[in-house]
Amino acid sequence: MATYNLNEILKKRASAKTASNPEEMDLGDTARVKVLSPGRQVAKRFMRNRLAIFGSVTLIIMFLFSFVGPIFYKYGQDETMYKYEGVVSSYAFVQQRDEYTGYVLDPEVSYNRSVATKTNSNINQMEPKGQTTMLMYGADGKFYTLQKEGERIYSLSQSEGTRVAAFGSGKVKIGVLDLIGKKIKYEHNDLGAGFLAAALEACKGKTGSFDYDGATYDFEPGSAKKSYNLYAQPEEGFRYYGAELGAAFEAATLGVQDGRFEFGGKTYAVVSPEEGSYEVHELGEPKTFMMYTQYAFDPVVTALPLTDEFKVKAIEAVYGAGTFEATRLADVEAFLEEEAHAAEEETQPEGEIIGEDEAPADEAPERSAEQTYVTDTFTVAPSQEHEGVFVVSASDGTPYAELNSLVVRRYNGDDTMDLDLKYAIREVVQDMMASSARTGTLTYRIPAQTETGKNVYDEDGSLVYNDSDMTVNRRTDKEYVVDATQQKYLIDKFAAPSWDHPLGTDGDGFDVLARIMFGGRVSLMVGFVVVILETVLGVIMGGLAGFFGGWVDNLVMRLVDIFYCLPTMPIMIIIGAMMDASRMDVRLRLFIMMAALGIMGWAGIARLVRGQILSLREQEFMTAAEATGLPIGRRIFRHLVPNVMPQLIVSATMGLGSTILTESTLSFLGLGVKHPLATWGTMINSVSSAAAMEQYAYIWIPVGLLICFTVIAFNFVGDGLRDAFDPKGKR
Amino acid sequence: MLKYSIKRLLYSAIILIFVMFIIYTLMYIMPGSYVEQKAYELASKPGATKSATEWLQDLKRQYGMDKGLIMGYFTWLGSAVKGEFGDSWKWQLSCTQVFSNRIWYSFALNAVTMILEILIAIPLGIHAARKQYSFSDYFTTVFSMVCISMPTFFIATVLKLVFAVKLKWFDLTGMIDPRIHDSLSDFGKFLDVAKHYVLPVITITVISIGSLMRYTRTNMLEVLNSDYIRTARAKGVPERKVIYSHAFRNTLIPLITILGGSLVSLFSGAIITEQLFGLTGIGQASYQSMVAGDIPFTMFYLMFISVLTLVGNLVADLCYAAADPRVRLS
Repeated sequence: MATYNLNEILKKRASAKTASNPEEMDLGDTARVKVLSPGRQVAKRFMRNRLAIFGSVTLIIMFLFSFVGPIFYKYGQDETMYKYEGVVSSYAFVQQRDEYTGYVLDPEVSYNRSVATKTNSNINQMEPKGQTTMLMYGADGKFYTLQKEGERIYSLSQSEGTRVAAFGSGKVKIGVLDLIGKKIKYEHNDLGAGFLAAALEACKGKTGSFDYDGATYDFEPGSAKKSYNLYAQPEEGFRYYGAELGAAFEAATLGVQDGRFEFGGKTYAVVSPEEGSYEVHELGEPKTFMMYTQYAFDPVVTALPLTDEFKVKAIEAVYGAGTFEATRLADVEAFLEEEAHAAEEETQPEGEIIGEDEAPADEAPERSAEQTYVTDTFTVAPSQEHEGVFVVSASDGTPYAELNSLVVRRYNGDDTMDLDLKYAIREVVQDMMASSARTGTLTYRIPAQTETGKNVYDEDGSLVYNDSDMTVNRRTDKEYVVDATQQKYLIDKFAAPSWDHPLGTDGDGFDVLARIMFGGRVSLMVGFVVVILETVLGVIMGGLAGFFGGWVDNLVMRLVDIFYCLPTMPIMIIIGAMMDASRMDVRLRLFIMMAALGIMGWAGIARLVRGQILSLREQEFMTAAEATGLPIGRRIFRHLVPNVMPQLIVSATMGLGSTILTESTLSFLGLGVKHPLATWGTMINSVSSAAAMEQYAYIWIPVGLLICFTVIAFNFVGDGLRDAFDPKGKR
Repeated sequence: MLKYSIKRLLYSAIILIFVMFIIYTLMYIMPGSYVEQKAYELASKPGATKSATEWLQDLKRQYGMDKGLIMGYFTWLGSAVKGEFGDSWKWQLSCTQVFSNRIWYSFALNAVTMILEILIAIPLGIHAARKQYSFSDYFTTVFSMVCISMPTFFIATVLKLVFAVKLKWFDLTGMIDPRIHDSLSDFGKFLDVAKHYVLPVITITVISIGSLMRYTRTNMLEVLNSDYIRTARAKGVPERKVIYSHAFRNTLIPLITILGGSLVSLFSGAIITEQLFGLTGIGQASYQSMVAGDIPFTMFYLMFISVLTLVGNLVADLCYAAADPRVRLS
């Protein structure tokens, strides 16, 4: 038997009736009255408000832009952009060396420094005269010989001297008589006890003379107390300190030209310790201990370090044996690889290797602290291709280094240019020297560089080269400066808008669009956190005051009065300045700022909540709630607060806008959120100087408009909500 | 009325004591090193009249910073009641002197702004309310909302860009044109200063105009919807008369209330605008003091602002009572 449902029958009958004649509708028909739930009513009224819809759409876009945008955008908020740019700078320096550089050949010889330091001026004296040797008498009583070994190379040697004879018209100092110690400190040879006795007897008063053994001696007070300097009076002819060497020797001595002569297979030197008196010394075996040269070394492998030992031996060998033994790096390849690695590590301090797996093989090979050296026999020979150049080759015949007097170095003095480039520059310079031109040009490839002057390497670890137009400028006859347009890898500051960076980059090379997105995150987040904080505080305080009344109300309201009176902006400025001085972490700063804003903003909400609750608690439903014996907390937060919700939502929405304003103002003043965190205020601040304002308008105008739009949107939505919640109050 | 005023004054004084206690606590918890560092920094500036140690001693004596928080506060309160606020570290003058040197620049700025604000906002608000939902109503609503939502610094920067950098009509910052100011007559000097006030006045007007406009519109709408206006219209009173003598007068009550309250704030200075446009008013002085860590002047200014707020509230209440005879204060 079929069931009989009256409801369905009636419905069917009604719909059939409506379908047949829609005009005729029963007055009591349920289809006539459409009842919406309160929430839907609010929503409907809200949707009708065009401004509110505009605000909501703006906000949705803003949220998507700030919170979703960065996920899809390729740059981060503190990702620095780089670019290659040709920068004209002094790249290299060319010098025709006229100074001689000394290399120590025998470190065990102790020598008089003042002799060595005079070498360059001594060579300058010798060169015009065509002198090849120069004898010097050092303050340490030793003889030094500067010997020209060949073009641009000199050697300095040292020999011991023994006095063999003296002659001349000048007084010869015998020694110093010490009256207290009763002894004589002789300059050269001891004259015996008899002389001492005679001297002791004679030396009285100021000056005088005495005779001894047929010769006359003078004395005068010495530098020490009770002492006399004794002088032998000049006598004609030679006085020998050892064996007499005869007239031939004397003739040779008198005929000496440059201070030295050979006699009987020995070398003698004549020196003049005082005006008019001369001494003849026999020279010992000379020991060469320093080499001087105008040549500079160019390693064939770029930037390969050469030891001083290698250099000095090579210089010695140029005009000497032609070969020498020295140590060299065992593995040049390894050296080059390591250089490249070192440069790479410096350019990418956080070199995260993004690989399938972080296998240890991918990591940089351990840098050997010390390179291994091997001893090798090198050959020095004049270069076949270039004049005045010597090539040092290793035992296997490969060139190892070159000696050249036309020195080409990087402008900062580093030797990091490759040999071919050096020759290219030299050629231009030599042409200029010949034609005495002031400038010359060449084009050559040079490595691209980072801003800090590090070379740029590609993925394979080899240098990135760029062709560069170079200009050589003459500074003096012997000095030339090479200016090059070098491709440098620079931070891309203040780039104009382009496809890569739709809004350009800012002063730190950060992408502006990325920073706007992240700035939006911070600004919106600050707004929400602060508003939530002040709403929670306000609801609790206002709820307590309104519900309990009496002294609680009084206390809370006085507190509200006090906080209402506190000037927010000045206090935030003071806190900001204080945090500035203590160099606080940027994130901690952000939290402190949000907390401070929240604490200072709750008073208004507390007042609003209290007012609402005061009127609500007199209504019947509260009496009913009390009568059912609900606990106080439940009555406040379940029954009263939800009724205040509409007003709370409206005031929170409006508060969001004003909080974002406060935050961006503080950040604009540099007292809020700090670099490197981006916020909209900070971004405007960074380009607000008079000069930057005009030039970088594409940075700050979009940002400023975003702030305006966000705040306007919040205000429109707040307004719309207020009207929707309270249609009677709609004006 | 008198009794009420006195009661309110006393009450305000008590509130002020607590407000200042909070501000004093803020100063008190400043790290000592920060205070000392700032004192030394400012004392080493050219023209410093006292050494940093003297300043710190003055600070201890007048502000009681070496005593406990409570005792120190009462020491400060004692000095403040006697009118001794100490010397500003930043400006090398006593705080009251800095105040009297600068307050009138700020007053002029705010006074001109307020007059402009009243002249623009109230007519626009009334007009919008009369023709509710018309285009001009929407325009006014949107315009006021935009004004409220504008950050001061953004308006200031845009105005500077347009009028100072691009059009070169005004100087970027400063009160006077230093190249010609000295050679001008007194009236010329006045005009020179006035010229430098144009951009700041526009800035503050734009920011503050919105809320007054909305307030006027809201109140006017409320009045226009009330029964006595309907009655007036029903008995045939001309529309002009309805608006200007029946409705407008009643709208004035809340307006007078808030304008009376903000009369006091004419003295408060505009911190950001003055700083951005280089006006040597009280706002700029206080901003620079606060950033430089000049404790005496900062305390003085914060107290001044708090007093202004409290007096403003009181004046607003009194104005309300004066404007609306139905209100009886008690």
